[in-house]
Amino acid sequence: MKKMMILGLVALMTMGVFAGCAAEKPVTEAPAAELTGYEALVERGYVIVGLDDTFAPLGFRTTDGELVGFDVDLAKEVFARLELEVQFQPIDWSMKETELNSGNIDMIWNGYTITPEREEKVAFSKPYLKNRQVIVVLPESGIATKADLTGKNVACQSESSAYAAIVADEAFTAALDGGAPIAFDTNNEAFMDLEAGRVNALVADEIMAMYYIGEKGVENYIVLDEDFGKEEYGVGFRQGDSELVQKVNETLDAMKEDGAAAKVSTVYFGKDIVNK
Amino acid sequence: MVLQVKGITKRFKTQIAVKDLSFSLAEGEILALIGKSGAGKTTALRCICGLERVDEGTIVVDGLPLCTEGIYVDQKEVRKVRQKVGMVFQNFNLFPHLSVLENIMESPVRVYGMGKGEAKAKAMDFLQKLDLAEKADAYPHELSGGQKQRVAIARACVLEPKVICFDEPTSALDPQLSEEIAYVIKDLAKERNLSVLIITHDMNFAKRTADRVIFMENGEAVEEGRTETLFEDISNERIQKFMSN
Amino acid sequence: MGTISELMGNTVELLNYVLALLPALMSGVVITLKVFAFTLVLSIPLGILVALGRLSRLRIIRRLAQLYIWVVRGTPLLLQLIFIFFGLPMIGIVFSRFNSVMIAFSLNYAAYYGEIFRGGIASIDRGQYEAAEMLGMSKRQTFLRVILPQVIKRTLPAVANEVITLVKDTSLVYILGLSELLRAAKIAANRDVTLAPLVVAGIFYLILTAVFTKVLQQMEERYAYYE
Repeated sequence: MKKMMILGLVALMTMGVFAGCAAEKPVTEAPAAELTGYEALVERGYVIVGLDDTFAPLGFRTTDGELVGFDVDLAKEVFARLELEVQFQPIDWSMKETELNSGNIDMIWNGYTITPEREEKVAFSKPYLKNRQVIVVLPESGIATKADLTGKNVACQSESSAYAAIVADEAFTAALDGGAPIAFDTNNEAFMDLEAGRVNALVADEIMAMYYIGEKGVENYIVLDEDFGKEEYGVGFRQGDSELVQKVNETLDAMKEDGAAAKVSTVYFGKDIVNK
Repeated sequence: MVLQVKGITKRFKTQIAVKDLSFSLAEGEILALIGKSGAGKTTALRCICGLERVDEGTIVVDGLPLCTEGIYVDQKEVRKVRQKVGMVFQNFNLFPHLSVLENIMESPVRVYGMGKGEAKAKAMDFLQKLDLAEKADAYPHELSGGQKQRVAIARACVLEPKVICFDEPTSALDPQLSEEIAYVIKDLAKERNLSVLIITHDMNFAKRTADRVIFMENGEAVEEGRTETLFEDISNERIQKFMSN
Repeated sequence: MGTISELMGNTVELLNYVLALLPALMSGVVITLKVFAFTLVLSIPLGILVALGRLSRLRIIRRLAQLYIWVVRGTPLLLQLIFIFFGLPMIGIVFSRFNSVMIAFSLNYAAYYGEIFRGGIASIDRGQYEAAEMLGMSKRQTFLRVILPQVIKRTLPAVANEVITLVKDTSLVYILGLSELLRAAKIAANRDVTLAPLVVAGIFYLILTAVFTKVLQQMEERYAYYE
């Protein structure tokens, strides 16, 4: 009886292992040395897009495990036109630049805000989506302006452009309770903290904030008129992959022209919000 | 002579544990090394078994040298010599995770390649003689001290050694049981023509079992004689003093 | 105020939602079990070697084993994962994501098991070795037939502890983008803006640890026949 149980368990685990092997997408690991220039990519026949698949609505998974999202669909269309196979590699957002520079992925394409600091490390495509760092509060909080947040707690996602935008405003940050924003792993956690009343406001990408608010009910939140600045999303490449950047830019431009980009936007946002 | 020990000396750092000890043991003879604790008798025994290495001296078992004037034969030879020496430890050192039968069969089967059936038959034979047959499938923790000792004896004897050594065989037993073990030891010597070397501080036990006695003090043999004469020698002050303690 | 039919409707809705989550979470469980199984199979024998290294007669091997244990136990597993996957390629050593996980986890757990086994081996009475020696057993036989079975019995409770910790430590592989159970739940939580997937993931962890606890308990019982 005992032996049977253990045997059964071992069998189960072994099956799991093999099932897992079969189910896993064969994402080929790219040796860093080979990655020089666009021609090398064409020779290889595929590109690897790094994304955090926890980023709804830009990149996430359906209940069936299918990878979807605005950025995912856009990337698929771009590389279909470039006749390159596209593979998506889930990464942890905090490791994104490390993944890029070590050659594990060829680009970061997942609501990646263009900032001056990042521009020093990566080569960006032309911006394709406008974004704001919005401030979200609860209706009953009575908070209407940035000034109302003096001495209060503000949440955001760690390693995000929201975090960067908050701390860039030194006077605002210094006036916060604790002198710093509270950084969470995901925006979802920041929202839950806001609902629990432990933080008074959160700062997030408008694109993502609107998705959450849409899911949770528009009446439950207030987005302040003031914001932490307008930004734009771009695709991040390794510096030196300028030909790839150029090809992606040209293709994106063509997709804006012929309405393909607008179509993808309508699927996820209900309207065309792609940069003209 | 089954066992010849000539001039063995064993030092631990600065201390001399055994000093220039010599004796021999005939077939079927029972010899007791007696003395107070710290007299060096256990160290002497461990040297003869090959568990410790002597610094000087010669040990020959059944014609095979273990060491000659402090120089040991190679590892393979040591194993051959050791095969001729059985040991019953003071606390028996049975393997707690193996049954009585498995304890006895382990070495013949695993080391000497005896068939399982043969080893089992042999083991059962010993257990029968030692009145332990019904404990064959028991584990050591289920046995009394005396039973454990008899299992240890069976485990040593199944390899058919020439010499069997007992380290303080009575220390874990009550007086009645030591009488029994004395009988078992004598029987082994007589029936199987086995030579027996006993380490003990128990004078009465030595007197009852041994044919010959060596009395040790500070690592040296200070008295030696046939049991019946040595213990009766009222004039020997040393013996009398030890006996009265 | 909700009526009973409303309440039932909500319950059905929740059950349907959880049911819909299962395929994604199950694929997370597969990754979790893969990491778990490989780590266990690799780290326990490795741990025995580490323990033997720590107890080696050669000073240099003892020192090396000590250094290894110090480095591995003295740094977070997360850091080791990052170092092996991202750091080693800098000196030309490239491992795939899953291999990096296997290496980091096995090396990490081997250090902990090594210390557990070292304690177990050291606790075995000297007399057991001497008895084996007198019975003519080789060092290998002595270790495998006499010492190891006793060490396994003595260290089983401590090993069981590590096994349960391992189930939960598997969640650290998120850092390399591997969608184990917790990450799979996070994806669903972010998509559907709800905590429910995390609760379901928690239940999955509890089921896994319950199963392993039971198996380990039965092993302990199996070894309880002596002492």
